[in-house]
Amino acid sequence: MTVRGTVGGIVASTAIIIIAWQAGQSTAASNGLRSALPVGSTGTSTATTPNTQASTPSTPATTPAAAAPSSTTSSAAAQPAPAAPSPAKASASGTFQGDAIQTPFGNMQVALVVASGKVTDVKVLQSTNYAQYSIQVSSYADPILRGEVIKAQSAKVQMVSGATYTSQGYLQSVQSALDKAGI
Amino acid sequence: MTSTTVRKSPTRVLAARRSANRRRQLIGDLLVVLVWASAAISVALYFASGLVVLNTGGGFVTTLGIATGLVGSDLVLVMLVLASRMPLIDASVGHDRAMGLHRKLGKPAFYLLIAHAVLLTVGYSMSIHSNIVAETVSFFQNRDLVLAYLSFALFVAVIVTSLVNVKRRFPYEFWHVIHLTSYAAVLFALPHMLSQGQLLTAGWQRSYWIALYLLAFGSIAGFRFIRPALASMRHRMRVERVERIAADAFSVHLRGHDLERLGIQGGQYFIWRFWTPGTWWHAHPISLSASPRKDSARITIRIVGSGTQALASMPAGTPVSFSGPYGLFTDAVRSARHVAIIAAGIGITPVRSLIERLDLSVGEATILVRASNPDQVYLWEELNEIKRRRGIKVYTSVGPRGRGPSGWMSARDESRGVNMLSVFPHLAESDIFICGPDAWSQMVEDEARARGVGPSYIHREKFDW
Repeated sequence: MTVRGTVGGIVASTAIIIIAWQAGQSTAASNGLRSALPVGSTGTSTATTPNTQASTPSTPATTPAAAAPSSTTSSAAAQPAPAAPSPAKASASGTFQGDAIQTPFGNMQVALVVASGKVTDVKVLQSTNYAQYSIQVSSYADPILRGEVIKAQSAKVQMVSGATYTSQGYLQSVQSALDKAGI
Repeated sequence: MTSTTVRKSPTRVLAARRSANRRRQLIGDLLVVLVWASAAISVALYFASGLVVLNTGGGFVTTLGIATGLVGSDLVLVMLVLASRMPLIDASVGHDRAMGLHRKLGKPAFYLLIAHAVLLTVGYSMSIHSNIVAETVSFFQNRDLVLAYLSFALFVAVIVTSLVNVKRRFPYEFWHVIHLTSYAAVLFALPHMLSQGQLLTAGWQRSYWIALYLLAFGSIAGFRFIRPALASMRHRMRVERVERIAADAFSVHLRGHDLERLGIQGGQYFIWRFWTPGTWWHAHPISLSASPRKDSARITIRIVGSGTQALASMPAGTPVSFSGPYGLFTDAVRSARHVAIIAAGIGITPVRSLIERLDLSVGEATILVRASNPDQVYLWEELNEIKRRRGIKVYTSVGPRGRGPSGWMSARDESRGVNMLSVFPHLAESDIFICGPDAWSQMVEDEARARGVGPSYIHREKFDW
């Protein structure tokens, strides 16, 4: 237990932590879900075209899951920045089921209810349920994420702290559903 | 005979001693690095997962809570390994110093675990906009978390009873029983780590932590229980007789089998358990007070409390179990040519067996033994016999202690102008072996350091377990 041992220990542990931190940053970055992303910046091709009701080449809903039309669409009207004249892509409608994403706490799967290219609701088909705590986590995280996704019309929203895996699974599943809807 | 009768040249002996010691110290330092690194790795794995969320208040607090829990758990497991009496640890830093580190880590580990519990409760409640009470109530609905709270309560009991002031107030056995529950405390914490820990529910991080637990409990089981049990069965030691050597001290003569196969070095100690109805539950760390022979060994004990008092009246034939040998109060740690030995009171016992096995030329060793009064001159006559046989100088210092810088000697000797250098003229090229009460030993060490002796030349043994 000499000075050499202590100094060596401090140097070694500092190095280990710095390397791990760097590794963690790059892992997080590559996950594409860096929580630093501003919430408001909606993704590229949000259908800003308000209810033109015309061309609806609606990509068929992949599953009939919970096809009930969204009851509360209030939040959808709020956001899109009018300044962004993004060309309205295919205005899909219907329910789009996302992939089931595996997390250490169980699978996470959502379905998006889309009306004219706008996400109006997110329904949870499977939620993390591995342990008591993760049920608790998903029961508070799911509504928050739902609100964020509808607001942002995107999967690129902040993760819910303390619910990292749930958020990741949820948002990945949302993204896959968005892809299917062509939004 | 193949044994060398001609001594190797002193320089070659010295060089060999030094390189052996450098190696030993390197291993010791590497173990210290390993302790630090294991703590770092425990959080590093978490950071590397990329799941650290710092941008919200709740996330930040939660992250801190997870990190403190991981480091705290790691330190607790390190403490178990340190207490396991692993031969590698004893041979490189010594069991007593390992236990010193064990004690030093206790409080930090405990604070980290407190922080873990508090921060996660706060962090979770912040994240779900709940409050601490509601969050705690919901925690209690989870079986694994209830176990974790139980584990925490046990840790509180273990740490509180180990605080120096509190520890003194209770009998040893009370402290010991409480302390044994720390095994349960560590185990009860495991389920919540594996089921609630976001990182540890699956994957190789889970395997890593399970491996750490296995290492810690494996070391304890292997080195504290299985190995000593096997050795005790093999060597079948029994009390042959108890011999009073002073009003407050006695020697226990032991009989056994194949004792030479224990690889004992002079100056080492064992942790003994004497199987009479009143004494079996109390283990005593006691040095051999003479080199063991093939079938016999001797220890010398001073009566300091009811435990040692009971040993004084053990009947012949009492079965004895033991673990050991332990300790670095041996010839193996020397790296200088000369030896200076300073012992007080019953501290003479390891010295007595050490000098029998020292690799010495005439005049290379000097001993100073001390006693507060003439009743405490344990084994001194044996010392005189060895002194003649081996050409060792022996000084004695009897009487109340002095007050000056050499106050570890008697006041009379100090006032005569005796000091460490006048007793040990070769101090600068000596290894110093110190054995006696803690505060006294510290005074001896302080004077040695003040006279320029490097720390790696000072060898102190505390009897600890």
